[in-house]
Amino acid sequence: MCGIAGWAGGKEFSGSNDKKYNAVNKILDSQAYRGPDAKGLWESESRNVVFGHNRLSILELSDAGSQPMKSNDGRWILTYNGELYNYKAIKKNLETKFGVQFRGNSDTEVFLHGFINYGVDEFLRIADGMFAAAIYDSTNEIVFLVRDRVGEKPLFYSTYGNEIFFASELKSLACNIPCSRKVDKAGLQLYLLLRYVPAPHTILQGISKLKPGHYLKYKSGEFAEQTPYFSWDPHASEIPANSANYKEVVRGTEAMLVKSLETRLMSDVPLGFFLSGGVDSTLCAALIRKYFGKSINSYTIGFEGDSSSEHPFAEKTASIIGAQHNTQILKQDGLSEHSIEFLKKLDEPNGDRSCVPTYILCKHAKSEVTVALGGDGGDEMFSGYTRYPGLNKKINTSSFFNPVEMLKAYVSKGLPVFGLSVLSIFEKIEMETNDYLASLSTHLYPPVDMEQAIRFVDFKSYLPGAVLSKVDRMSMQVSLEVRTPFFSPSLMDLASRLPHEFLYRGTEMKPVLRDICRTLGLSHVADLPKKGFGMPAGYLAQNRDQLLLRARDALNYLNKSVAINDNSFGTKLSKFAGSNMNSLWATIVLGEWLQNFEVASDGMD
Amino acid sequence: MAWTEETFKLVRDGIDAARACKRTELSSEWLEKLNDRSAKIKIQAKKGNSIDIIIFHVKVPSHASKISTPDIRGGEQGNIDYEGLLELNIKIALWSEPRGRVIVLTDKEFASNIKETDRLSFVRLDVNQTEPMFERVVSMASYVKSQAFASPAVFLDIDAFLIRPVSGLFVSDFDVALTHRHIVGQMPINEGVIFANSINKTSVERFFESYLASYLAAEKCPNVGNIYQNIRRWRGGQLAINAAAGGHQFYSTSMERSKYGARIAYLPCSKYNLSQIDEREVTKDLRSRTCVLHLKGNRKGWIEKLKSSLGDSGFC
Repeated sequence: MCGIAGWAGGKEFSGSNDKKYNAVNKILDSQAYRGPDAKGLWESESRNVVFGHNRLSILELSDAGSQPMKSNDGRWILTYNGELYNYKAIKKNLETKFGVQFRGNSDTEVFLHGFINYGVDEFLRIADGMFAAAIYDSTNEIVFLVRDRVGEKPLFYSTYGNEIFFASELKSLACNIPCSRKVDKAGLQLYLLLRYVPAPHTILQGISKLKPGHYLKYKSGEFAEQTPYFSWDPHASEIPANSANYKEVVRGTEAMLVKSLETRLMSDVPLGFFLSGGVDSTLCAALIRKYFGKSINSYTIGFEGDSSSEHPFAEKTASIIGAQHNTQILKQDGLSEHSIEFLKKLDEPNGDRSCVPTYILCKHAKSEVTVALGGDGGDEMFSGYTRYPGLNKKINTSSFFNPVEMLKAYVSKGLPVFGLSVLSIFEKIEMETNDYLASLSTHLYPPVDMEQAIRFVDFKSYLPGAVLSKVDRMSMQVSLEVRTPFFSPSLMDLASRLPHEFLYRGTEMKPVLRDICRTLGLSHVADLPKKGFGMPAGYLAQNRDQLLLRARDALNYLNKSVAINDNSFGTKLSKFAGSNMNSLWATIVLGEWLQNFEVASDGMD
Repeated sequence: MAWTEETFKLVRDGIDAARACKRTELSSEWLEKLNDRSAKIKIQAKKGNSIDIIIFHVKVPSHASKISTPDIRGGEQGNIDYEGLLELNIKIALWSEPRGRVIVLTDKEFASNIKETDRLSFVRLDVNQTEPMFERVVSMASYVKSQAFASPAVFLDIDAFLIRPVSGLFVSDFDVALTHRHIVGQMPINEGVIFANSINKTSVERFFESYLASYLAAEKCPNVGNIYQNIRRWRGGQLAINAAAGGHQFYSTSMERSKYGARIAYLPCSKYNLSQIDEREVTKDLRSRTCVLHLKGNRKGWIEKLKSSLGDSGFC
């Protein structure tokens, strides 16, 4: 896993190219924790393109995997962050069909030649991986930015005039390029509604995120449009709901997960897995043990004094499957220290309460391994969130004026943060805010089964916006690579065909995954209701006084923030900040993030 | 026909070629032609209609009825009973949308035995029957400029059956909704079902002008010509709508604002233009998850199955 950065501009910029080179170099330095093993910089002969790379060596530890990587003929340059899990199969095809001769065994080289020989659309269609990359075609002077299907790896960019800058992290980009460093109003509004800033928006003006499953083609002087290559949508051919098909789906899911795990276990460095008390990670861990016989380390986190902490279940699972298990207990008085540290490192405001435990878990795992497997995605693909059941009644489609209203109702009831009325603190709702909600609501166009459709909404917005950005940023802070077996293209395809009956069985959710767990002798997990991986409300309540103080300070800072430029913003937000634990936490995250960002960017060019 | 890697590539190349043909402005000459044709669409805009269902079809002379393109080979338009298909389509559409009406845009002779009613109108136009796909786009673009376009409209292929009401869709704030699919070897946007909202008529007109302008550009494009011949007859509409939508190989279910301000929604074919299913899935339950069943190509043989499945929901 790595970090990438770069700049491209028209030739007329050659006079100031030292500045651009230095800017890319500084971006790399400020995100060096993403790849501490090596740093690479490449500049085109005409000095109008600079690509950079921070390397964390996982596969092909030799220099043959160094980046930025140039094609044999020198025409193409790649800087790439991620893993291409099916690189061996693609490599074989490239050798046989296109006669490509490889210099080493890295997936980077396969990525480069795959892109060159198949072309952008076809290559991305066959690539199974998590990645963000930039490819420069020096003949046509085009820069391609690409991002994986689901949004596991981040990619930020900023275009102005005839130039583009890009980087893996927002802060490292914003602090080192000429940009306003002001808060983007649509980004802020969406954060207050969702507690994360969804792509293509960011919290800062003039900087965009590449959307998951999209690529961008940049040619100096032309409009850079994000182009889709993947969308997780309801499949045309839904599997008829009967018991024979259900058995087949259970069998197929297990087989596809095993296949996915096989490729995701490839590593030249020590590997472990995150084990919560939940179904998804337990299932992956048990399958690794059953099919690969590997004894690998497992890691979990518990909360002192919280009766709902899942760590005892994880410990039981570990003892059944024979994993070398490690539990880290977050002490009651540890929240302040850990969360202040975490917020200093947070790349973009993310009010997901599980960021802190994820950070601690990653830090803990990194002391022993460089790669860890996680169970993210299972809840969206197989309907695991407790907020899903009953949506057809709670959000009665016939009583709502339109799909956007339904979406807002889901956001405010299913994932409550500040509530919809928080938007009243703005003079107007930005067009981009409305457009984002309208776009997402296309999944709720009538006729709609909310309990079925909502997983597609969450897959598109919540999963990359809150969950995967959390996993990437927290793990990268400690130079740990996290892989997610649920995102194999074939498994995603299967999950998109599941009928309602295969997603809910009475009050039980994710019956497909639970039934596989049961066959593996893990009923103690399969029979448990979902709890979630966040900081438990009870744990937060124990720290309530401290949180209230921090929220007050955060609101005060929001009044002073130059980036927000509204000296009563904090005061206005204070009416909503204490609505619930989510809004309280999201207020702290926003205020402290801005304070850290403004201190870090102070005095930058 | 057997799909090969070569045919997949041809389709992809076709889309790439179409992408280069994306246009947003129509010449004044063509704008005038559209105005002329729209003046001939003298259907009254009826208040209170939930939806207008527009079907375009012309009788293609036998010498032009064979379809042979890289992605569709051995198609013979002349072997299909289109009048029977139209009758059934109208019947199902009016059953599904009890407050809707059907408008058939056609030539001077097709389906002359079908009688008009207060919920069914025929608009007979001077069209070139050997260029059905081109005439269809011209007619749709004319329709949205006409006085008739005052209610939400859905444009359907003659073999695309509205098996469930779609009027509820138009409370959403899109201007035009297109249907997309992720099937390698097939054009991602299918023109067999297009939704046009009537809130912002100018934006809808602009989209259809772009659609036609892209068509006109595509027929002059050498890269398109290398793959498809005479695109005014077959395949041109598909190329043009894919070009107008951006010429991407894939689409994401979403809504995008076009450069000319129209809000274009991209909706999954699985829900609004379903064709990629097994015949066994054509049951009463199909209506619970899809609004339009598109019986393309050989699937027309499933007509009896369709009627029977709808019969279970009260269609007779």
